[in-house]
Amino acid sequence: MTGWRGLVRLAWRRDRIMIGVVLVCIWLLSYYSASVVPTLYSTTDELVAANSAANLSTGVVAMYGHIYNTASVGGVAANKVAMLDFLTLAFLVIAIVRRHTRAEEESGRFELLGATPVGRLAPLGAAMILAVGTSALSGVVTIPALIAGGWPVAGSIVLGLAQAGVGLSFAALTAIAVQLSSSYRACGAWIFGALGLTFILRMLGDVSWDKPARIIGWFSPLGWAQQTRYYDGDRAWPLIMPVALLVVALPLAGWLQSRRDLGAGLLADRPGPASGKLGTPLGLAWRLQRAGFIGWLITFVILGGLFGAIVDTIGGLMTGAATDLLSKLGGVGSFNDVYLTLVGVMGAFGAAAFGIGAVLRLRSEESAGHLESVLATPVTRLKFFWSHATIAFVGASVLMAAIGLTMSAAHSKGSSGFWREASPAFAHLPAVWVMIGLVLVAVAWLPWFDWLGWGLLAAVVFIGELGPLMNLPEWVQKISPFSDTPKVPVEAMNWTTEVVLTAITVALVAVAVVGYRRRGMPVI
Amino acid sequence: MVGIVTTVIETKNLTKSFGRTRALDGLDLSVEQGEVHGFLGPNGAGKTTTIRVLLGLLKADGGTATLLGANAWTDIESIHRRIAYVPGDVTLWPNLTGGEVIDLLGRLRGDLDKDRRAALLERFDLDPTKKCRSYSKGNRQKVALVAALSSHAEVFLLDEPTAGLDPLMEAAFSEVARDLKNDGRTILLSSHILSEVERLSDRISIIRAGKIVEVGTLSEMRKLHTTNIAAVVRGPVPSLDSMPGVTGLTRDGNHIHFAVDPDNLDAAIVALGAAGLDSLLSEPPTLEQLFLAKYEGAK
Repeated sequence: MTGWRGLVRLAWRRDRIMIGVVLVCIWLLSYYSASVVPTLYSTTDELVAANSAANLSTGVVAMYGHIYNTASVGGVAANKVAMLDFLTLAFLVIAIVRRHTRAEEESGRFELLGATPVGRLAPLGAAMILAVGTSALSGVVTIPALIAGGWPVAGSIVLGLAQAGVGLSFAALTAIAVQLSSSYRACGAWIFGALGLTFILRMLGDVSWDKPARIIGWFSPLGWAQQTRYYDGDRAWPLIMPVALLVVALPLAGWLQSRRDLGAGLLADRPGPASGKLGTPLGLAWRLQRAGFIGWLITFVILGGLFGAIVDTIGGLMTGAATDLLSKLGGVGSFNDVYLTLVGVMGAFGAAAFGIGAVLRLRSEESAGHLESVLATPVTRLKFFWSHATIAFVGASVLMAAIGLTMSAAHSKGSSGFWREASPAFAHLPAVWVMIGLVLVAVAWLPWFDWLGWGLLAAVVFIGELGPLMNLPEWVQKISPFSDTPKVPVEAMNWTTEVVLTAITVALVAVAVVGYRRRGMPVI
Repeated sequence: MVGIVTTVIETKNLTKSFGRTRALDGLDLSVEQGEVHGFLGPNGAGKTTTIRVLLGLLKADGGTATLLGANAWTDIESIHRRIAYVPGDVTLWPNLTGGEVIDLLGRLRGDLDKDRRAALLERFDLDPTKKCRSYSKGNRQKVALVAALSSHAEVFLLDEPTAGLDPLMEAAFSEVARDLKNDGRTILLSSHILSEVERLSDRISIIRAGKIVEVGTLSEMRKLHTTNIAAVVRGPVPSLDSMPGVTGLTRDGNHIHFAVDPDNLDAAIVALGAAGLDSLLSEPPTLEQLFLAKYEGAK
């Protein structure tokens, strides 16, 4: 660990803006969520009604968890903001650990450090110190933010600590994931796969909150955080779990690291083919994105099947009184339909994330220096542009089809019609395309600000998930393309909107093409 | 090659700025068919920017750039069918093998030649089955070289092609480059490695701060420059002190060192001969000297 202080300073110097911006977002989100609740529910009766309704929707429980005490002032708002905070912090911590371990190794910069009197474990140690410190800071400052927003002190402390615990857990898991493969991307696939798995585990635990199967939630770091029951029982003892995970994972990661060669993974690189069949830009783009797409596709198929399979448990939970309550709250259509639309929206966010990642490959190919070799051949910029844009559009569309079809197929008994139940996924496709089009424009015209793509997605998810809850102004909520697509089958299909959004996509792509053909390359 | 000498690469008054930095400042470059043209300059002089303009990656702010008679910015497809390129900083897709990258670039260009590829792999002693992430810098360079040199291109744009290669591989590269030249192909060889340019080039353009400051064959350039003389003399040679064109005169006992310009060379030799000579060494200026003289003189 010799020299870790210098490495922590280096890591902080490189990441301070990213960490600062994300933490401030978490704190503001927490404060604002707490402060708007009184304006939404003026009486306890209204609060109880809202929380009860949330508990009755399996979709909401699956996304954010069950509320044990429906009179809890935090309730559904706290569950929502907590889950968003948890996931945001998890992504941040994963990024920190990956950037300062495997990414540095792959780039060869570790060699420069390895020649200095820096200990073998110092880089991993420094990354972990920064990640754990960030988690602690994030959680600790969230506490006064929540209290200032008007939520009870005890629950706020528990929620803040639970959030820090999620950070610790994912720092620990990432430390192990980065030992597994020599490729930065492959290590990313491992840890993001783990994040997805922990989300599914806690989801299964939450929807079966009153059955023995709830134990499944205890296999997930996100589940541990929820088990602290912030504002809803306030218990601190589940926080021992993330600490225990860290205590087990750190020595394991250190042991793996000290056993392997610099730059190597546990699985050695095998020799590959001496000659290749790739011969087109699209072939190359597909080869580069294939593994990622297959990972997304498997996730979407599993999620679709899972979501479809549990549709009927909603029916079991329904009582006459519950149906009354929902209709009083303005719910339209059956519970099943509301739930299906929710899955459709979540799937659309996921597909948009894939599409944005696929488009940003245009940029990473450029900044990594691969673009020059390709463009020195007769391949035109337009062909190169379309190679990755095609993967983005087609891939995102296939993902949406996959989740819609598997969801509907998994819910065959008592289905209101195969295509009717698959429709929520397809209805949002034009909104996904608009997102991809916007990021293409960013890549073409503002290559320095390509990260705006992810900011755009974050903004849209934020508006979609918290906009109604926070009473954001109408026009802000309308900005998101996902607010325009019809929520079938609850709402009627609106072909005009779909056609207009598709036309907007075509226009955005045209603008992007003009910019991409004009600008200098490579912009690094 | 018999025929009219044609200009294959031509830039006229090329300018390009990045923000406030003026990378190219009225660059006039002209490369003729069948020659190896050395493109020499210090780091940051604008070599890579010039090549990127020629490849149509960057759009010049002013001036014209033509390759094979066509506009470098607009006629990408037709030009790029007839050229091959080795980037200055070779980065490859980490999860593809070297062989896959060579074949990919060959197919994209549309002239993958399996026999030539195999011969070059042997010549450069490169294992094509390894993943690019595990190649050393020199081996990555070899992948880029094999990919470019195995093509049937008419023009080769090579940006510091031997960076990272060991001397044996440098020699292999020189051989291949000579073969290409004998075959009538044109090579633009960008480098700051002077010995390499000196060995291979028919003509040389020296670039500094975005401008070509000197063009010519090596012998033409030498005419403009001084000869280094080291002599051991029997008697004093006082006339050297006042002789025009003599610079850097030092005496150490009967050892004399000085440099003299071409116009006064014979007078200097006559003076040395009159004093009586034990030994005489005369050296042409190395490219390093031409280069440094040019570079420092212009400061």
